[in-house]
Amino acid sequence: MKDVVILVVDDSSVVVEAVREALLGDGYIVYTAGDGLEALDIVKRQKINLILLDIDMPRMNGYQLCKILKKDPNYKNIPIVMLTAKSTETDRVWGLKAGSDEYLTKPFNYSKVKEVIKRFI
Amino acid sequence: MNNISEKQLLKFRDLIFTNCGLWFGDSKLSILANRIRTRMKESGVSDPDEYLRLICSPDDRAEISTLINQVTTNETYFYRSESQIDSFKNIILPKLMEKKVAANDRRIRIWSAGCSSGEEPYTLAICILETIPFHSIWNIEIYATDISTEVLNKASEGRYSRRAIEKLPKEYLAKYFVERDGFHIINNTVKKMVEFDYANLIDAYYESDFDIIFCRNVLIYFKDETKKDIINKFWGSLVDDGYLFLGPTEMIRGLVEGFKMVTLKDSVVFQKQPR
Repeated sequence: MKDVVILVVDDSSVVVEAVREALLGDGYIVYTAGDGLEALDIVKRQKINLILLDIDMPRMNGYQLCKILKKDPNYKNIPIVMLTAKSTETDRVWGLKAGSDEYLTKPFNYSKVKEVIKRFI
Repeated sequence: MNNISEKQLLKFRDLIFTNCGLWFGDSKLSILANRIRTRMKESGVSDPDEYLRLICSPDDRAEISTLINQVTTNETYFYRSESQIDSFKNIILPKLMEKKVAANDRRIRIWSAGCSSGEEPYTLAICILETIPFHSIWNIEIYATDISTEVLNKASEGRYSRRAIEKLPKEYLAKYFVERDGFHIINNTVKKMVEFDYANLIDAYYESDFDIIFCRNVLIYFKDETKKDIINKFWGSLVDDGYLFLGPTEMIRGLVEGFKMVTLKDSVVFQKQPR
């Protein structure tokens, strides 16, 4: 695997750290952000290959970030995997409508996340 | 069955506030209790303590999410508060168009904040189609947001019962809906004018450059401090002289600076002023 860059966006530092550690262990390059606005700033400055995205965050939420990126020709091809506690069927449907490529719900196991990442990269 | 004690009810209220910022004041506790009872019945839990444990579970956030969807969902309908809608259509919209034409600006941006299942933004879209001649040369954006994905999915579907369209003038019903299996389906011309988005008004990110914001019967669910913060953010999201429509009985006097109350025919609107 060569320089695959993953952006982890979540307002929970516990989740961010756990996912970051696991991804680093697998050789990925990892950036992290605490909300959608911070993530948007990173996406504009760095080349990102995949985004793991939470939904409910204190500033811009995950659905909003997803819609913004999927509308922008510069970023629309970045795969977005929602990784969220919002686990009702309507949440999932809305996530897909917002343009996410995959929707995983918490609690998640890392092997599932890894499997999904491999599917897109 | 489902007798919720006052102590339990207050626990539910705090949990909802912590999770989404909505506050059920003492006068609204009975509404909250009814909605919790309905949800408990649906989920097959009869003991309120057991249900409290379920929604607090860190391993499964689905139930708290569903409960929030349930308690934040308000029944609404097309052409709600007719006098406000008429003022929007017959006074504000023509005035706005005149101003835009003079400025050679063909963009109109409207935000329906707390749009529920879409009746309000679609009503606004219909009013625009009825009022603006050659609307296709205008760039009209109706942005509609809600905190519940359940109602957003319904809204984007655009399928309504007879009850929802009861107040809509009959000629609009024939013009903008088709009837199928006892339901009224909004047509694509109207549907395409509205963009739905998931947003919580307590979040910091607000879109901007709106000519008009509708936020009717939503702020009643927030504490004064939160309300003040939201209205301040509305002020920042409106263009100069932009309009804010609140529910017919909602007032902002004493809460924030920067809005002038304008009396229209049978309703009022708050117009942004410089600070």
